[in-house]
Amino acid sequence: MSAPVDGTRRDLGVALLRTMIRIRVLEEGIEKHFLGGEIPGFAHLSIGQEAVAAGTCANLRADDAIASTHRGHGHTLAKGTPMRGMVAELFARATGVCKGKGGSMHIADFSVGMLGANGVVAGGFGLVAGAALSAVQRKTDQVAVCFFGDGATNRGPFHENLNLCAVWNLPAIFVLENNQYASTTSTAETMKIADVSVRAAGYGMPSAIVDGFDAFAVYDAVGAAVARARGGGGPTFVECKTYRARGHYIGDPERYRQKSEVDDVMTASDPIVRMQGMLGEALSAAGFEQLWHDAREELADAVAFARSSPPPERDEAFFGAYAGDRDASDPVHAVESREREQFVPFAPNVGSGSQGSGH
Amino acid sequence: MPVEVVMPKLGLTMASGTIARWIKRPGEAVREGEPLVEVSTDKIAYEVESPATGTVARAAGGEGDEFACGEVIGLIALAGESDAPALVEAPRIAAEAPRIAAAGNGARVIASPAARRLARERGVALSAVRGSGPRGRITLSDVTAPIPVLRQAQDDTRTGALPPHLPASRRAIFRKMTEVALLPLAQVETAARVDAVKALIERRRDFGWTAFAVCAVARLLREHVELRTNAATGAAFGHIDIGVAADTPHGLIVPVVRNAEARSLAEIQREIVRLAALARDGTLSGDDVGGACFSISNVGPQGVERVAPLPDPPQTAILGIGAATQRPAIVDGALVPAWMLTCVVTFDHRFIDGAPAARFLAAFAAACADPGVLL
Amino acid sequence: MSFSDATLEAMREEMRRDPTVFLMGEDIAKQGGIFGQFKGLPQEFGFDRVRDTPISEAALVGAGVGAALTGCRPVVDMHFADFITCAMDEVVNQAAKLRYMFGEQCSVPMTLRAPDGITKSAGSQHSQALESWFVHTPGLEVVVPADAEDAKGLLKAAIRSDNPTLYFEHKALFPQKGAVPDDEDFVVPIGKAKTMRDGRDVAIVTYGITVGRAMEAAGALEADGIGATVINLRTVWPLDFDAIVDAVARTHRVVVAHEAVRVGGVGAEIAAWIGEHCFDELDAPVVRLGAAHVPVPFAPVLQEAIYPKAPMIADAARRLVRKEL
Repeated sequence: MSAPVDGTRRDLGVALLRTMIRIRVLEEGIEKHFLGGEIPGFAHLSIGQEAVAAGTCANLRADDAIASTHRGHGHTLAKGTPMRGMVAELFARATGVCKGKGGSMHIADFSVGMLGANGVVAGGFGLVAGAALSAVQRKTDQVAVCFFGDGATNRGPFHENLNLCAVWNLPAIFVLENNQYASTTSTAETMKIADVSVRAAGYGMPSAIVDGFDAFAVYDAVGAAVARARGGGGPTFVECKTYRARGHYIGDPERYRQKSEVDDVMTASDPIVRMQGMLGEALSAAGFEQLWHDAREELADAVAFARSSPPPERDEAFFGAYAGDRDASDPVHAVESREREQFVPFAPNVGSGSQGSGH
Repeated sequence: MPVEVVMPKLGLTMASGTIARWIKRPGEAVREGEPLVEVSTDKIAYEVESPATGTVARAAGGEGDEFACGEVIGLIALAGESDAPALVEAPRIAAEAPRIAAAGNGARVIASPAARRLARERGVALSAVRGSGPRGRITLSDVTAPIPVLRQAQDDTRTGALPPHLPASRRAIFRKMTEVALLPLAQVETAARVDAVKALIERRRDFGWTAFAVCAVARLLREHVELRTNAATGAAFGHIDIGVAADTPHGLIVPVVRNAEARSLAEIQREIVRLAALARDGTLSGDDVGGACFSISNVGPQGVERVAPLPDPPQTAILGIGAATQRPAIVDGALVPAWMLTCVVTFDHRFIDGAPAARFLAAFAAACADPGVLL
Repeated sequence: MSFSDATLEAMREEMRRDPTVFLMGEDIAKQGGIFGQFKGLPQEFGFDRVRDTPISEAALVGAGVGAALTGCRPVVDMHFADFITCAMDEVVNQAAKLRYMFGEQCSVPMTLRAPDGITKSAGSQHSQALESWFVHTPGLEVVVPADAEDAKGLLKAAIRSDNPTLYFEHKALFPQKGAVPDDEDFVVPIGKAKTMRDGRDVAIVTYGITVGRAMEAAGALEADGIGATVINLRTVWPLDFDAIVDAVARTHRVVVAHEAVRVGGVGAEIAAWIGEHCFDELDAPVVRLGAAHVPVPFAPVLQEAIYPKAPMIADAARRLVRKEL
């Protein structure tokens, strides 16, 4: 349960709400445009989990790091990535934040410390352990946050990295979005424990369990963990009980659960509605509507930006894997250019007319 | 199965060869690699080695008989095999009949990629090369190995339509010149000032007049493409190989300086000396003759001022130079002694006109006056 | 100095030069490495910069990647190359791909040290040479030192490289002595081969411990009047194709040799490439030598039977020159 809202708490609540609404609008927009055929590949929506992203990232500086999952749009936006860059990336445009080379599952923005969504479940643990270790090596007070789901906690790197962070006392925070499902399997089928945080205890790491629909609760719990980490107190495990309101991926037929279950949970616990309730009169109906309006405008602008952006130049496919591969004097450039040459004659004569252009 | 002996293709333009004499006769034993039969073309005489160890089962044709390249001319029966079945007689080619287009016997030649490349560059026929690699593969060193050339063909064993007392050694030249007589040949001539060349020869002492001419001509032929037209194709020869007419105890031979445009004066001189020595000894290889795009005849060594030579088909032009002599010349109104060289270019007017020939000769004369520019 | 001392000197120099360089791995700090290759480092740089880790390869490599992403130059020691398999996701899906996937927003300047190779009956799980897997993975650089000079120069280059670099150091090379330049700025550039000796008759293109074996073979060939060029590739990705072309053009006969399994090895890439790009220079087929397609056995007599050594290399070269192949 959270404290009554006034003053700075109210401002925080509105900020959290703004972030959650922006995430919601973005995710619904992605759903619509994916189904409309404008987004290639896969997309995994985090509708229902907005409070975790918002509540966590509100505690972080731009130079703190986060690593995310395949379900990372909310984390990415909450950490400060511009919506234009995100939508353009999903639309596979050259103006995307990853120049069209990553897409939804590999979206990243290093300028705001977002070390990437990861297509490998549990891929983020090592990166966060490393980012935390890096802060210690460089003697800064930066912290690193790992977002992950219940499914990741059954993989080896979860255990190895939690252990390592605990024994080395690294400034890492592990934020579990326990949304009850790992793809099509519920947590009840894949682990014998009800609270994953007992695993943290197994590594000697302090933990907390919070209501993942309550953005204030998330904020407070993660805030404590961040303070501990920054102060040299080591890692913390924060388990957020939440729920995934959409399928594992867009297009998932969701044969593993009943629609009524989804409806019931969201009716009872939609984090946006929750925060609106908690703010009460501290936010007017008009103010609330304004937040939605602003978010929708922001999305519309981002979509227009994406649609009017060019696709990446075909030649871009062949460079960028190595530092130095655009430098003609670097041996890597020579070998990579050779590999590119065999494809040059097959460049289709359409689009930006970049056939054969190299670096 | 008996092993076939075929008429080899000894050069790019060779279409047929003539049996000069069978060294081994039917019934005689022969070892692989032993000389079996001597064949000749209008350029060279060549000993064909036996492809197998066994007995000569069949020697088709007799002396003077002509066969197309790739035709079977003999059979070697291997040890333990009975006499060869009847060899299908290859059709004889009448001496006056038109040349048959070259045809290999269709068998694949196994050669390493490097050997193929070198053979292509040198104009060496792989079918005439023995492979020393595994399974008879022709390797690089096989291509560069000299083919012993007994002598530049002087013997022409055909006897039809020849003056009765013409020495046998003149038959080939007789036939060639009869061919040349039909060509519309024209000439351009100039006296080139060669004081500078003479001075260079005396100062450097590492090249002579012929080498100078080869060097200058080769470089000029890069640009003056018409002068190296191939009469057989109508297009320019790809390689700039220069024939140098040489007088030897065996008669006229024209060894060839390969890729002359890429060689320095000193290199060309060394090559000419080398070829001359081989020519005198009668040991030029198949690599050393044939395939030239242009030839040079120099009668300077005989002390004579002028020669107007005839081109050697399929070449379409030739340069003749004489001895450099001191002659009176008028320079800026004054009478001065000048070293002069009389130069004649004879050309086949079907392919080359007077103006390009004259331009070429003028450029040659300019190179004589100022050798530094071209060299 | 010895190969292992050469690597130690490289570590010391690079850690002095750049405070963001740190080292972690199993049994390196207190023990100094099972080959003594880290002796004295924690005493000079502290146990924070030279860290012993739990037996957690995935975390070790993953943390290395994370640290590399965020301003450090970690050197991660794998103990045995065979254990890279326990961190394949971290090497292949993370380290190799992040720069590309994220549109060059980051780089991964991590060095992965991996003692590899056949020695002392270590058995099949401690004797592998896996470099071809990582040549096959776009985004990684792979270097294989052949002697003490390479050991120092390539390690410095790997640490300074902004790309994730795998450094395969053969266990049997650690005690081998060789001359090493004094200069602190001596670096062996990544992607450049070294011609160890020149000969006109045959070229032996190789790397790592096989370079020494090839040199031994070349000595025997010289006695037979056969001149062998020996090319020490030093880097197996990016490959120095110019050096390879040169050697083929000069000799027209090539043996490609390595200790790693012949099937699907780096030699296969080199041989195919030579066939594509140097076809007209070949006077004979390209011969590849590598270990047999079996796990490495334990008993010495069995272990020694399965990989190419000097006599086998010399024999292949001789047969090429004698036109038996």
